[in-house]
Amino acid sequence: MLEKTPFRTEVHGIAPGTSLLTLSGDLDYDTAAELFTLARDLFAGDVRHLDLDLSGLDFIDSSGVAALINVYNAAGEHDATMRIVALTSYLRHLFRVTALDQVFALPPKEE
Amino acid sequence: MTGLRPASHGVDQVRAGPFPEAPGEDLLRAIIEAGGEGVVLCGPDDIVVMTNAAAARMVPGIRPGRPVTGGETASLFGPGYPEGESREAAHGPLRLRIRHEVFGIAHRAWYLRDVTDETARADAALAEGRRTAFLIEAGRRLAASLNTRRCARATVELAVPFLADIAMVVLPPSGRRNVQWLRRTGDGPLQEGSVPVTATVGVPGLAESLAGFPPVPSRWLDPGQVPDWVLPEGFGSAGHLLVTPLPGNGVPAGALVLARHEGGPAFDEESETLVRLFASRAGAAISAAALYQEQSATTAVLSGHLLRPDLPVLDGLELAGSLRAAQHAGLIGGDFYDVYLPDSEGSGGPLLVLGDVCGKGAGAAVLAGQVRHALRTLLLLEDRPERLVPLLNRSLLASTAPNSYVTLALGTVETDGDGHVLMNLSVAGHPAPLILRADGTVEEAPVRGSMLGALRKIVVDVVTLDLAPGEMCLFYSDGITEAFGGPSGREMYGTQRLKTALATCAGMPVAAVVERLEQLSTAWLAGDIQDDRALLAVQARAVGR
Repeated sequence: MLEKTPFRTEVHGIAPGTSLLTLSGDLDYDTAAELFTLARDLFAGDVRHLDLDLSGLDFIDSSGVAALINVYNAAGEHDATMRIVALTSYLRHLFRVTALDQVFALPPKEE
Repeated sequence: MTGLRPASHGVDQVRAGPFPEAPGEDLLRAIIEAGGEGVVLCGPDDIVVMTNAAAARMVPGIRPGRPVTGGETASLFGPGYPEGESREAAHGPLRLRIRHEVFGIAHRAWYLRDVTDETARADAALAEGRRTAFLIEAGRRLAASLNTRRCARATVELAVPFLADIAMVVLPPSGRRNVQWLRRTGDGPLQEGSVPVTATVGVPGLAESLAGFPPVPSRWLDPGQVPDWVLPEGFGSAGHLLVTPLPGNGVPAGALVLARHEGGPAFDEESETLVRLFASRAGAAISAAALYQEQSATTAVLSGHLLRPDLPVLDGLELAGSLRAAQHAGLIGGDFYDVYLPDSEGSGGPLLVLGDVCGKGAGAAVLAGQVRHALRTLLLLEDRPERLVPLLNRSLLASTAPNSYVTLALGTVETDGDGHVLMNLSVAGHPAPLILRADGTVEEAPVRGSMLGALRKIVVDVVTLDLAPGEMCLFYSDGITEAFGGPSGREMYGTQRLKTALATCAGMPVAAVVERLEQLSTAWLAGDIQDDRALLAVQARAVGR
């Protein structure tokens, strides 16, 4: 079996009401729920803006994409916003294929 | 008293010196009383001349003046055993070790030792060892199967003859009116049958055991009440009965009915304990097997929906598909493909769909089934992809199940009069299909769109592809391109490799192309199938075929 990189999350409050959530490792079937639970708890607290740093993600599967959509929808339900501030070219390609680049706020492409 | 032996005993040795006289009877008696062994001294004709208290306790029947070989003691003091050798014999509740020595021509002494306790301890150790070995063997055989019938069979085969003369496992009624049983008698063959649930009431303790009540001691169960269906023909009547529940996962996994012949040993406390231990193992094995079988049945039902559908034969085009599920045991994948034919009233062409639902396992299978069903229904009303896709999205958004997300590629195909196939193609969050041109060029269909079930507002594109005879369009799932393997084992196969592989397939029949791509992907994975992989290709029929 392919070795998995452990999924890690780190939350930093960077301004009042704004948190930076840094993800690394594999966001997949086994770890997707962890992300959603964490984000939901943040929105249920005082977080109004959530910045996601995805540049450390090694792999993401359909459940991982679903978790990101769930976070996006949860933000909407709490009158909060979600923004992706960093990502890999693989993720950018994936968001393009799934047309999520038109939904998520993504950082401008570095040339 | 010369010639007495053995001299080394030093009892009656004649010595020169100041004490030549032989010991008197009192002294002799004192000497034999002092020993821990029972001593029976016999004179001519095996008449007892002297015994000590120990001997009298062990064998109360012997008295001085009476022959030792008569009556109930004959078996102990028979002459048929070599002198000086010990043997053991049962005498009433005791177990005695006996040896005799001959002194002179007329006297014979019997030495008796009570070894009842020693033997009992040895027997107990032996029995304990046998019980342990039995439980180990039971654990080994019961763990070997995930089939309820085979577990029940192992249970009765283990129980006879070690625990009883008849063993019967009665499985719990699973909603039906009958209960199934398996029985073994002696070394006879396995017998199976079923009886109405109402018949279980007739066996003392059985209905209670099937209901999961703790077992009652065997002595409370009347073996005379055992009905005929429990006992095999020719067994006669049961002498002892023991009925024990087979405890399962919360619910009883059945009951174990044990019977012994009339006149055989009763079930004592020790064997009841052993049976309870055995029953708990058998019950765990049977309930695990039942759970597993239930799960496999569910899996079979669910994956039946995902089986590769038979592709229809259509005018002017060829179809081929391949679906390989991930290897994760018990997990059902979420890749699927389908070809929907327009009904007789419909005007459009057939619809090709290849999709991938979010997640794994039964949830994914149910979702895939819902998507396919929804598509079939929606197609009755609408077959234009740009209208069909938003309808499907709304249907998925209305689903109450969490994560009802789907990506798919779909296209309607029509043939024109020149052997070309025209496809109206749309994708929803799915990798864009690839087009193999006649000259070996591979193009990515210039179309993309949102995945479905996630967002109210979605993007839907439709492009029309024109496939000349021999050209094909390949739908694939991300299990193909996101397969990690290759020389390092961690490299992603990627779209570029798939395009390169497809480019080498120009001119090949579509079935061969799909097979080749599937093989290349499997080789890349080197046997480690991590995700479902689906391929569906459509080819405009080549001229002359």
